[in-house]
Parts: sequence; structure tokens; C-alpha cells
Amino acid sequence: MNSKEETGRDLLNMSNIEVKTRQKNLCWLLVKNRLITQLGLNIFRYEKDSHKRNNKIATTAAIIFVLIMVAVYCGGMAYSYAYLGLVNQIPGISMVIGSLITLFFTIFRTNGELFGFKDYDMVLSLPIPVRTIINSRFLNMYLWNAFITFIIMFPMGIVYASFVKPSIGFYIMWLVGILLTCLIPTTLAAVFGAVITAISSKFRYASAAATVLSIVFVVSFMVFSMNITTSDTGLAKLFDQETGNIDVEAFSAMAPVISDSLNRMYPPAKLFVQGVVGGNIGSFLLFTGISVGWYILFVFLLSLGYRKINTALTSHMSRADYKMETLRQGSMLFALYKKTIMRILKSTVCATNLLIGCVLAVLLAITMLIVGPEKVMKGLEVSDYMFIVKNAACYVIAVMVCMTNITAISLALEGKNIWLIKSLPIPPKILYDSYLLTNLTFTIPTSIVCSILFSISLKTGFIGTVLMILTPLVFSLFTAVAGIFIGNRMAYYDWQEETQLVKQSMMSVIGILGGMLLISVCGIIANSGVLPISANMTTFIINILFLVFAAVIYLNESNRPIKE
Amino acid sequence: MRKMCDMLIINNFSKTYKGDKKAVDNISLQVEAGDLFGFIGHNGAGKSTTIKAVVGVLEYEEGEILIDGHSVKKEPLECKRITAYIPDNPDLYEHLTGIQYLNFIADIFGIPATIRETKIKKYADAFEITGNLGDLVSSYSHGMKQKLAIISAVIHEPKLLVLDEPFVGLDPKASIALKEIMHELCALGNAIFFSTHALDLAEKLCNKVAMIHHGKLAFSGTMEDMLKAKEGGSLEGIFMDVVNHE
Repeated sequence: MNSKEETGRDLLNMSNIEVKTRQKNLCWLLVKNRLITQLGLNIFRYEKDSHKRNNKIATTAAIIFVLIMVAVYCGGMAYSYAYLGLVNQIPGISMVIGSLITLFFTIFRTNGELFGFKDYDMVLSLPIPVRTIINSRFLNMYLWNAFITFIIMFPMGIVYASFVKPSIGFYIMWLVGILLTCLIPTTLAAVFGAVITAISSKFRYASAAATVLSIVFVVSFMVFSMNITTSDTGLAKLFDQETGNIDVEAFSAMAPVISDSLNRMYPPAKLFVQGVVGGNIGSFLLFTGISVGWYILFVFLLSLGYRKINTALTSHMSRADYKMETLRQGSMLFALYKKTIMRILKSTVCATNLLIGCVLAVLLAITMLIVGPEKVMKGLEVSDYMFIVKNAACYVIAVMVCMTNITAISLALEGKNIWLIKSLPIPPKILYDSYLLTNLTFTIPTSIVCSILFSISLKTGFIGTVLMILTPLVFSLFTAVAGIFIGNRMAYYDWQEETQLVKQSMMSVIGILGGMLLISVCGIIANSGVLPISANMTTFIINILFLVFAAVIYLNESNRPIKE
Repeated sequence: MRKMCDMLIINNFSKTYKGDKKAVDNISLQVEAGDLFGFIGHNGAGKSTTIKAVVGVLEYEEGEILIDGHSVKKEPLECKRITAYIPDNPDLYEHLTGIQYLNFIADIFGIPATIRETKIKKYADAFEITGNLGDLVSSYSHGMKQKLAIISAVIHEPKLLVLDEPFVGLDPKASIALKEIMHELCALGNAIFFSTHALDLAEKLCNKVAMIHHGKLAFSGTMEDMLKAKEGGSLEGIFMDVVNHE
């Protein structure tokens, strides 16, 4: 080989190395750019408007507080397991919790994050390989999920280590395991997202098709996981029947059952536990290989059809054959209501995330009616508590229905269209009423249908039926009105993607989780017997109270100017 | 003092963004019924800030803005009912079809069905987008969105039409159609206040003009007076004089 050829080959190798390094840098550059936007880092550094900056600081502090609480809760949960003699189940349980949360947080995010994102045209016009773009979008989702998994698994690992005093190998495998745990569910969610997006992109109404497919997928997944994890050991056996105290021995005896359930529910958990708890390096390496290999395979396959899917998603059918037809005049309220309803239904991210609660509530009510409450209760071995179930069912419906809190984000959802709302002669009250009507359009029929189905299946008496119908209706109204209150204080319009608003904003978290928490607390107060009055009477008083709260908030909010 | 025919009065209006210098500094001007008023200035001069304050999109603290005698600050809804606004880059509801969007705007202004049908047909034909009205706004090009925004702004025949760079993105035919619509509205006694960078167009189209430079008003009056007062000849020459004499 002559020196010219050698120099040529060296140059080729050099350029390959440079290209690879450049691609890595490009990927990181894209991720960095995205993180700066998502975390609002430039608001902390460069925002001159102190009000905006302080708002950002307060929101960040609130999120950090919530995350600390989650970490403390996870640590406490791990401590309870250790106390009940289930210390060796902690790694498996934490891994499954981390994986499930990752899956559910990612499943509705792929459309908007991996596909059809706003700056797609701009990014694709740059000299960046498609695989680098996919990697950067995936890496962004992965980093967020790894962070959440860390919040869950790290404190549980500390509790496990403090009880077991494991070798140094555990700590290494545990930390690596935390980083790997979310890789499989993130990829799995991305695969389902890709499949749903690819199928729906073939339809004329792609968003509607994606919404239906996503909801079908989530419901199927829930039914499937419920089927494989239904325990043979009833909950009743875990408590002393006379004193009601926890039977620690019974809990300890459940260890193999829990292990078996986890492995059936999520097979990689077995490899993870064998590696981390049993010190089996082979199993751990296999877990690592599956996690990473699965991801590489996904990126490779997706890169083949990525442009095609995105092109199909961003291409719009234009018929250009409209002929003027008779138009009808409607009221301002109805015009705004129609506009908001269509905004929600034509967005897959909004529709799937905001309507899933209503869908699940209806499915649960139908299941109760078809299968029968006795069978459901017997399956869970809690048939002794039927009287509680009868009284608490109205709160269960309310919790599920109130997951549909559209009002909290409706104003912010106007986004770049806010100039229209502000420049048109729209009184704030009519605008807020249109948001309320939109919310209630979904929650009121769902509440009534579910309440009637539950009343029939649980054979509640007259008072029980009235409360069953009244409670979800009152809470639907209250949470919708509270959503206006939240949106009017926390709305912002400069968001980049809907996912940011629907899944990650404080408005959404407070509106949805806050409502669910509040209703759960009311349900517990009404049915725990802490008050010297009957559960029905307590529920009735709670309904009256929340109806009054809703009225007060509505009157206070209805003429408040639209947030700047 | 307000004359009966004053459609827009801006009195000593200033706007300071938080932590920054004044974007607009004490400007005053009047637009009368029938006026086609051009508002010109360099990028960042304060044109859009003034326009947004006029149409009630931007809050302001200093000065007074009156539309047909109604205060923008005290009677915002009264002002908005007789005004129409098109921003420089109109973000419309992309999830609606063109006709649904126009119907939405018509419902907000309470336009009777027969009138809206006639007006939509007239203007959509003029801009040659009638066939596209059944398609989603998200499928529209920038120019088509601009045309739709213009139609939505004129169907309720506003007393004051406020436009921010209305000719950007329009094809020559649509530009001519827009000019005709502007003349037609002014002939009916309505007023148009619009910003533009196209100085030759402003010179030919407007009867009045105001020039804003670094937030301060450099000139406000009739086009004739402006061209007479400055011996530069063209509006372009006058603009360059103002910009270069900082």
C-alpha cells in the first residue's frame, strides 16, 4: 500500500470520526435546545419582566416540592414493604412502578414529541440525519422519564440498602438499573405511538383516528394488566378479622405471590431482580442488552419510515371545491362553544388526555352492570365491604369523570390565537361560559349514565340513587368552575406544544390531580365513619357545600378580565 | 377636542415595557371618517405596539385612545364592536374550515345570516378563495390565511379597520382587491388605519400619514402637507431623511 492510499484512508477515517462526533454533537445540540425551551431556562437568565420571572420561579419551586413529596412517599412506601417483611420485593416493585409511570407518561406524548412537532420542517431542512433527529427527540423523552424514574427508585433503593446492607455491586447495578429502567417502556410507548400515528395518518381525519386508537390501546392495556395481575390471595386475609390490624406474617407470606405477579406483568423485572437482588451479573447484562437492543432496533426501523409518517401527518387534504351554501346565525356563546369543542376533539393530545377519565368511567359502569358487583367484589375478596362500595361508588365516578378538566387549560389553549379573543368584542363571562359548557358537555352525560348504571348494578335505594347521581354532577360543576379560576391565574400563551400544556403544566396538574385528591378526601371523610352522622348525610352535606363553593367561585370569576 | 367625524383619537399615548425603555413615547394623532391613514416607521419603531393598544390587545397606562368617542380603556367592548383588526401574521383557528371561521366571526358580531352570506360570497370571490372555504385553515398558505383574515375583518363593515402590514404575503391580484375594498370602506364613511413598510404604496393609497421614529411621532398630517413641507419629493426620500437624522 503506498503512502498516498494510506493518507487517503487516514483522511477517510478522520472524516468518519468527525462525522460521527458531529452527529453526536448535533443530537446534543437539538436536545439542549429543546430542554432550554421546556425548562424555560432563558426566562430565569434573560427575562426582564420580573413578574414573568417570579412566576416561573414560583412554578419551579412548586414542582420541586411536589417531586420531593413523591420521593418521600416512595421512600415511605418502601419502608412499609420492608416493615411487612417484603424487603426483597422492593427492587422489583420500584422497577415496575417506574416502568408503568414511564409508559403512561409517554404513551400520549409521542404524537407532538416524536411526530408532527412544530419545528419539524425547520429541523428537517437542516443538514441533520433523520436518525439524529429521532435520537434527539427520543433522548429528550428519555431524559425526562429517567428523571422521574430516579425520583421513584432512588429513595426506594436507599430504604432497601439500609435494611439489607448489600455489597458495592448492588449500588452500581441499582444506579445503572435506574438509568435503564425507563428505556424499555419509553421505547414501547414510542412504538405504540408510531404504530397509532402511522395508521391514523392514512385516514382523512387523522386526529380523530389517532384519538380513538389511543383510547382503545390504553383501555386494552389496562384490561390486559388487570387480568394478569389479579391476585389469588384476597386482601381480607391480610388483616386481622377481629381487630382490623395488619397481619405482618400474612403479608410476608405474600412475597412469592407479589414476585410472581410482577414477573407476569412485566417480564424484564425478573431479570432486573435476579441481577440486583441475586447478584446475577448475567441476568443484569441480559436486561441491559434487551433495553438497549430494543431501543436501537426501534430507532433503525423508525428511521426507515419517519419522513413518510411525518409527511402524511403534516400534509392536508385540500379539496378546493366549496360552494357557498345557506349559513345560519348563532349566538356568541354557541359560536365560542363550538369552536372550543372542535379545538379539543380535533387535537389527539387534548382528546386522549382529557377524555380518558370519562371513557374509563363508562367502561367501569358497564362492566359493573354486565359482570355484576358481587362477582367483581368477590374477585377482589372484598364482598364484606359491599355497604362501603355502595356509598363510595358516587365518589369513584366523580374522581374518574373529573379527570376531564378542560376549563383549567382552555384559556391557555388559545395560545397564539389569543389576539383574536382579545381583539373581538367578547365579554369575559361569555368566554368562560363557553369553556364551562364544553367541559360539562363531556362530564354531565358521563356522570348521569355512569350513576344510573352503578345504581342499577349496586341496587341502591332511592336516597342512594339520588346521591349517586347528584355527587358526580356537583363535583363536575365544581371542578369545571375551579378550572376557570386556575386557568385565569396560571394561563400562558407562548407554549410550543400542546403536550406541554395538557400533561406538564401546573394548571393541568392542579386542575386534574387536585380535583381527584379533593374528591377522594371527601369520599374518605364520608365513608370512614369519623363524623357522627351517616355516610349518606355526610355526602349530602358535601354536595351542598361544593355547590355553594362552585356558585361563589363562578360569581367571582365570571367578570374577571381575560389574563394578559 | 373631538370632532364629530373623528374615528380614532390617540392622545399622549406612551407605552413602556417592563424593565425597558419607552416603546412609544407620547404620540398623538387623529383619524377621521373616510380617512385612509398610513402609519409608517422602521422595524421596532413602535407601530405594532400602538396598533395593539388601539385594538385592545395590549394594556397601557399612559394616554388616552378613543374610537368613535369610546375609550378603549373604559369601554373596550363598545370599541371592539366597531373595530376590526388584522395582525401582521394572523394566527387563525387552524382546526376550523375557512367557512366555519368566517361563521364564527360573524356570530361574534351578530351578523344576520343573509348579510353574512352575501358579504362572504362577495369578498371570497374577490380574493378567489370561495372554493377553499370548505378546507381546514391549517391547509392554507400564508397568503390564503391573510385573505381569510381580511374577509373576516370586513364582513361586519367596521367603522375603523386597523391593519398591521396587510399587503405582506398577498399576490398582486389580491393586493389590488384589498386596495379596492379599502377605498370602498372609506367611501362609505369608515376609516382605515394601517401600518406598512411599502412607502410607494402608502404614498399612492393614503390621504393621511403618520411617521413614527424610535417611538416618537416625526410627522402626522395629510400626505399633501407632508410632501409639501419636506422638499424631498417622495415619501421614501422623507422617510430616509428622518431615519438618517437621528
